[in-house]
Amino acid sequence: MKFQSITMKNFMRYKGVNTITFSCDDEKNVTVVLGDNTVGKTTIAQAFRWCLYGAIMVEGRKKQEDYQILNNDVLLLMDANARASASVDLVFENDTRRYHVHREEEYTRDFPRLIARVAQKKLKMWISEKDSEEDEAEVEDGKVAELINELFPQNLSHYFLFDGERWNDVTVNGVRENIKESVHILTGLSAYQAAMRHLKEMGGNSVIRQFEKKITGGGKIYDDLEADRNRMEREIEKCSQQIKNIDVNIANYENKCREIEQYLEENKNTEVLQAKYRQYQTVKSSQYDRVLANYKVFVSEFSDKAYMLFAKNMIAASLDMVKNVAGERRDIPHMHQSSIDYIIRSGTCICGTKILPDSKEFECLLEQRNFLPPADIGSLLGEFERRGNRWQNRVSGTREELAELATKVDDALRDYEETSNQLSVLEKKMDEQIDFAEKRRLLRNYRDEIRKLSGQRGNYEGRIDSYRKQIELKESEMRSQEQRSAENQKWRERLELAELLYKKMKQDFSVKEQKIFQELNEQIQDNFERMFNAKDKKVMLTPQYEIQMLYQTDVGFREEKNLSEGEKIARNFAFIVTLMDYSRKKKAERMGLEDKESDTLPLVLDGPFSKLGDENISLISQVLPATAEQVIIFMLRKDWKYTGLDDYVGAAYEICKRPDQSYASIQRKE
Amino acid sequence: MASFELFKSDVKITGKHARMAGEIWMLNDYEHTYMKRLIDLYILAAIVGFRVNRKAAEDHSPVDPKTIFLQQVLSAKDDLDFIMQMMYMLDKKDELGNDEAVKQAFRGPQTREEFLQWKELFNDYVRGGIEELYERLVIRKSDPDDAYYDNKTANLMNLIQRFGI
Repeated sequence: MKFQSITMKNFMRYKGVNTITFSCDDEKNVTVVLGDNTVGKTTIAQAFRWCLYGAIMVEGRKKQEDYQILNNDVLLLMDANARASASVDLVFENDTRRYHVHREEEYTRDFPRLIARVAQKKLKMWISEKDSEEDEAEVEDGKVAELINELFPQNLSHYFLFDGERWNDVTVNGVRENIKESVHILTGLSAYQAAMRHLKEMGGNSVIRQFEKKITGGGKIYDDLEADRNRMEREIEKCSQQIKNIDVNIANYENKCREIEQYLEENKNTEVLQAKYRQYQTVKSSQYDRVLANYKVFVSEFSDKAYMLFAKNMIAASLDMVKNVAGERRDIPHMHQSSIDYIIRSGTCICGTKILPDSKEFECLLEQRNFLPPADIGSLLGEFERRGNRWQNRVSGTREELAELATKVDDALRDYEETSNQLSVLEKKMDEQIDFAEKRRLLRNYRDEIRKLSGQRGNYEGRIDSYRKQIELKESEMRSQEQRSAENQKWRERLELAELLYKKMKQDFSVKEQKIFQELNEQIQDNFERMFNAKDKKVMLTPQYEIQMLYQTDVGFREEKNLSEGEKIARNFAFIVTLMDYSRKKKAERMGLEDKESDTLPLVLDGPFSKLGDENISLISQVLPATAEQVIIFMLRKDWKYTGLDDYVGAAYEICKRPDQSYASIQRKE
Repeated sequence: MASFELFKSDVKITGKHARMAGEIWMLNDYEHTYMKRLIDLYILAAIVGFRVNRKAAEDHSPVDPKTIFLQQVLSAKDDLDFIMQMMYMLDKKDELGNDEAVKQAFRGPQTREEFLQWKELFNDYVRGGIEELYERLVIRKSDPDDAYYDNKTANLMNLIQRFGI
């Protein structure tokens, strides 16, 4: 699967229409979009997510509603009756088809406030053969989201739409839930599951049941046998359903047991918890003070200097005007005609000389008076220029100072919020810790329930076995009663074939599933080593597809749960690359066969390297172009040199944002 | 000039602009305020209003006015005069020509009528600036490309990026 282009219209930072055409070349398969901090790289990555799933990735405690999709400048120009829309179009292709997804939201303005209200939402999709774009067929409205999810499973979206700056544990846990199912889709195993279901596992509508119905016999004995067999099959279905329900309940009780066991383990020592709580409280209080102190310095510095910084253009323009004013300039600082008038009125100069009317001193003063404002503005111009220059000198370096202070505020606030969160977790734990006996009682209950349910499960399984045996008997009796017609013989053969096929598929599925899990696990470790040169750590998939990171200790490898940001990224990269690598290999193996269900996903990486060292950037970069069919990277201009990806670049773009504009635009680089 | 000197009295911000100012400046509440003093907002708004060419007439909605007292105005008078001179000459250069615009900017208002016109020019830009700052600081929502987690910090830094060059 490759993205051909993305077109954003009035989407967040991007005013008007901006299109990026991605490189679909097999060799030069990297498209890079470079930009400085905060110019709009992440917005483009978000546009992919929004177009495919109708939601953007939110940060921290923020909600979807905290973000505005419609461009702010467009909103500003709207009046109470105006409507404006934001949209994203994504075009992508696989080996045979071309897909076009269009998501659009139309807005009204909550005038005069600057708030956009969604008036209408649209999601459209068209499919055409790859080589004949004109014959587009529109996908039925209700099916679009389903089809998108089939092509780009949302559960895997955090992997192929990789956000290096914002990816944290919470997201990974959220993703993990259906990861197994998604891996099955990606590795082609889901096709097996679907086929098995179709053959036998969907009750009366399954192929095998339909075939059985075609075989007919004659006479009452045969009819009774057939009715018995059908009844028993219905019973088997009922028992299977019961077993499914029991399994859900058991899993549920097991989860609860695990939680309580973990809780009891963690809370062995209440004192430790209380000491920790007190410690966090002190930390929180000092962190809050630090937040306030940092805010104070930041706001004060901003208030003292920002106006001078913002006036720079005005100063330059007005100084230019002042310099070019015609006439002779006499620059006598801080003097005014009224100052001379005052001296004359007082009758004595500041040096003590008497000023008498018509004296020489009086004449001199009157002459000087002509060169002073308001009659002459020369001295005012001088003062003006000095003040302008002083303002400009005072703000050299202010931007950098303010940025540094802002970072301090931000860091302090994050620390404070993190501690607050930890405190509330502790508070919750302490609140619950009133009575351990109650927890233990619950644990016993849950275990009893599990035992009871397991007993029931065994009972149902036994009944299914016994029904199957009886069905076999009934069927053999039926066969002896059957009319030996050619028609029955035909269906009997088909039935046997279908049964054989089902059996074989079931066997193959189980083998393949095991094999895939093993291969993935080996590969993820290989990739991790290849990309991170790490000898004392390894990563592993659990059967539930959780990615664990293990550390070498004296007693062998142990799981480490508190990972640094860099480690989390390393672990996730290893997983992404493994998945991509795996599905690519499988596809190559299948070449020549008709099954093309399992396309490799393209990789869209936003700021993937921001938390990694130079060496790791280069190690990862070397793996990426060979792993994914297509790589789209949004990154900082300054990090590019470490990637060594120049030979793989098929298209390069730059995000441009003029400092005096609030919106960004995208330009192709040659 | 002495009798028609600007910035020698209390400054009153009224109506919706007082409400907006009240959300941008909060006395001694450094966690929420965007400016240290109201006079700082007044000065900054004048420059921002002028730079985005946004003027706004006085509003009289029933909101408690915000007042900057004379003492504070006088402490910033030199800066305010300087901004007024720049504002006047740049605003009038097309109408009067460069030389005359500069001369009038330095001569200052000579009559009561001129005094009121000058004051109106300055305060129109201040009100426009308050509206612009309100939108950019108070209303502006988070953006995934913001370099800062904290909204207030992100908005202040965005303002610096927009105007601080």
